[in-house]
Amino acid sequence: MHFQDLIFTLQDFWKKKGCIIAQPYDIEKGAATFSHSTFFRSLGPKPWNAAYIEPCRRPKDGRYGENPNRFQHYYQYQVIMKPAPGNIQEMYLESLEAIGIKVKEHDIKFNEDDWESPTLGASGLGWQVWLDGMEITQFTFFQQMAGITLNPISAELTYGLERIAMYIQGVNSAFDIKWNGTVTYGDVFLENEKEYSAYNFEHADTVMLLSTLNNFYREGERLSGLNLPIPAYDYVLKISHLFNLLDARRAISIADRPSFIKKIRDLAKLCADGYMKLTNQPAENQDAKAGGK
Amino acid sequence: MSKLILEIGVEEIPADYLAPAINQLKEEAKKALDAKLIGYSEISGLYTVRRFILLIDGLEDKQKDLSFEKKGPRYDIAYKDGDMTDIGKTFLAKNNINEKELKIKEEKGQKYLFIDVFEKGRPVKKVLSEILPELIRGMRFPKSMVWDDSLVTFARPIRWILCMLDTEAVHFNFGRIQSGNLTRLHKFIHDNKAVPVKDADDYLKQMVKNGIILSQEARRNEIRFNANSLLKKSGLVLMEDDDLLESLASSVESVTAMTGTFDEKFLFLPKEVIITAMREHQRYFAVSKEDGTFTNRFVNIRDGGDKNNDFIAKQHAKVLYSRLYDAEFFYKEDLKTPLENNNEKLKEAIFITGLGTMYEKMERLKMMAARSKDLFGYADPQILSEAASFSKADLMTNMVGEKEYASLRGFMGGVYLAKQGKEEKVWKAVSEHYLPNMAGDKLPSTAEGVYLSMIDKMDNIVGFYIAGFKPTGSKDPYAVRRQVLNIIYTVMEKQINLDLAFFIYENALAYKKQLGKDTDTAEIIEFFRQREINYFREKGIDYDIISSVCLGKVMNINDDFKKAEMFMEDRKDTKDFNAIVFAVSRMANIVPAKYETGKTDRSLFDAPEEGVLYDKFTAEKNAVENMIIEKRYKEAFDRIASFKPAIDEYFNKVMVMAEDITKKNNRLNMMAEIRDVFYKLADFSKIVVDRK
Repeated sequence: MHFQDLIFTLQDFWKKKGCIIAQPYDIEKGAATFSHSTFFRSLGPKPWNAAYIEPCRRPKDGRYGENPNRFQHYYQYQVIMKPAPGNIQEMYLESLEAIGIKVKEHDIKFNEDDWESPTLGASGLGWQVWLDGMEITQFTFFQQMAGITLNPISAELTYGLERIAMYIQGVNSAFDIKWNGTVTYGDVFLENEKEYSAYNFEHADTVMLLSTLNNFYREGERLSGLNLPIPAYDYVLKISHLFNLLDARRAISIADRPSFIKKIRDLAKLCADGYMKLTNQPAENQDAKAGGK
Repeated sequence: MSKLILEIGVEEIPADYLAPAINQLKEEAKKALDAKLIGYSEISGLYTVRRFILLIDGLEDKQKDLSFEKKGPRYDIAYKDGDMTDIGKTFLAKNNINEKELKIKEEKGQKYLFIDVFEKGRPVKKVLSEILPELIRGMRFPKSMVWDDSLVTFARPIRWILCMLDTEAVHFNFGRIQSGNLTRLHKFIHDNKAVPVKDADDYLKQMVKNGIILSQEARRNEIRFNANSLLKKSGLVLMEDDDLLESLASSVESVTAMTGTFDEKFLFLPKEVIITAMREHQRYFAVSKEDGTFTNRFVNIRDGGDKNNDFIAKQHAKVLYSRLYDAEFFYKEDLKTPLENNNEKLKEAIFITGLGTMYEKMERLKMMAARSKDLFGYADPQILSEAASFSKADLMTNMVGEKEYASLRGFMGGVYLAKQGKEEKVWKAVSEHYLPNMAGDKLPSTAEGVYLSMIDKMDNIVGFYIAGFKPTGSKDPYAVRRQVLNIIYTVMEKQINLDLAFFIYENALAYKKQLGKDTDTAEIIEFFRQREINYFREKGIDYDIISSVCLGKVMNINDDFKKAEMFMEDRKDTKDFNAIVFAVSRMANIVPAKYETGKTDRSLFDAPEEGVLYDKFTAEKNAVENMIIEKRYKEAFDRIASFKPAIDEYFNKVMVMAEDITKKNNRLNMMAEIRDVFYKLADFSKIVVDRK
């Protein structure tokens, strides 16, 4: 199965399960959870079922294209279903069958995982799914987003596409993944990995990035003050990426890390609260309801 | 008599939640049945990663009938002049009875109204349908979650509940789940198929038939047996790993073992690195030859049949390959620079919030190591300082900096230092200085390792006190209590002769010198004292003897223990022991608490017994003191015991509290002088004397 067919198959599968096939959001982000389709839509009572591919950037993970498993840019395939269907685990296993992984012929493990995103103030419980010893999916029942206790609960499935493709195609390097019959993943991304690794680790202008980060933070705060939580959230994404870049350049000391992360989390919280208010979903009641028994 | 089965069907629960949860469920079930007056003969519990099972045997069909006398208001309040008051009437109305059914009885000279109450026991099935959902609701886990709009919580989502009383389903709701007669078979092997169950025995049979193993012990045995029979053919054996075995047995419902191979080229790595890569991340067992030689094999445990095993084993090997490939890279990178070069990076790592960096911590360890002669009587502080200066550097290496290999801290430092050709005393001390992790654990094998371990742990303890993280009740987020216990355990096991109070004081001083921060060391010493006392209790020392020896400004646990053991042994001869202790504490007790001792003046003696006792004392005082200093406690006690006749004679003839104030004070001075010497051994007044 070619890389693109893997994506098509998942899209088709989740379309049939009632998900809208959403598209990636056009700002850099470290994980698909940061996308509007998950961050905002997991808030409040309205049902939401979406599946989408999301490009992710983790500047620190770049290896100049020399490591077969680590890159600063890769794809996640994300499914978010709210409320979480009672048979979500079965649906997930069915999706593996759809991409050619017969569950009876493999060693599939659901290993405990307490998921947490300190920058988004988000947490959930679930599993890492292992296929023959390799982690292929993060499976999470969200409990909190931006510090808000959620009800209803969303189920989030995050597939690691490159790993799954490597597995299915039996190749040892992601760069050897066949995108289609003639083009490889390396043809598409190897040069990017080299250049971005050089940029992330060597050339990114830390002084400029730091002052931009501070400017963006102020802009985000200003926008959230104007009751524009959605544009304000763009700045959460931007400063989060700038933070990751600065981190890759080792420009953030261990001592300063927590305060940066808190900054991002605080802004994300403002956006989430604003969004709840605008969409008439009182955050406080949510808390009270979900907190009680 | 009936049998109940309750099965809570769940999605995969974290391994270490299972055993505590089932034990709690059993306990709570017992309490609930007792409270509801439901008879039963036995409660047992079973679990797998996907189910909690409660079995109750010998259940009676009905609750016991309940009859008792209920006490009402006082007679003189319920009746005024022979007529019933409102209070009396209310009591009747509340209990729905008429006046004729009342009884009047006397209790402690007062008359009260009483009535006979009789409650008929209800059918057990009905009562169970009420208490079982409450039992499920009461199950507690380290972390719980919500999964649907019922907002009920559990460790992971509950997907079905089977509940049968004999052959009848017990119906109740928990959240959105309705209990019934259905269980589910294996998730992969049987596609999670729902099947009806006739009763508890039928359930157990069906599970056996379908290869679902409900007992943890059976799963452990199955894993061991399957793995070893697989390896036996090649003359190999599983390397025992109890923690991994426990965790794997808690993660499966059925057991298939498979073995795979990794590239021999990785065998140059320290085997601890390979084992860590396998166990911490991939959860594989390591494999050795029968003679113990480490091999390039591993064992994986699968839950879901044995189809396609060979292919799967190869896939596992691939994943392991890339992990070992990383490890090899870290290892080689780390060896490119001397370990101590990493110390610079420690300046970036926070130790405890508000207490500076790991670099500063390392500097403090050096300061303390330099004092090791005074602290522990260690001959070569230079060596220990050197070890201390390298002790934290491995935290900044590629290998230990990686989460996966973080548990190799210390050990990797030792490996790198050995490769650099450092002295064995130095690298071994670094290697083992995190030991022990808990009481009963392995201890550092060298004196240097032991001292460095104690210095490191004490620095943590004092640091957490300064930072305000002292342990209180159940709260101890930084495991300060455990570290204190580790030090006490080490001191006792290794027979280390040191004054812990001095150690604490010196460490606090190091903090003060370096960071200008301070704490009340008395509080820390008291915390150690309490742990010392608990430790002695566990060793079977009597409480009063503990009180007599575990005190004072100096805290030398081994000395205290030696004394305590000596007293325990001596106490066996009860009569003598009591008499001696009584005599000695009699001298002490007569001196008023706030009495200011002066000099004893021999010329003021008038009774010969005074002179006899004092002469003996002055003649033997030095001997007693020396015996105590030289830790010849038994001899010291025997010598003190030899004073008994003289003391007895003294009290027979001499009136200490004499009219003449000068004489009285002189006698008190003498009593206090003797006491002060004898009490260097122990506070005899704390020892309980049986005067029979």
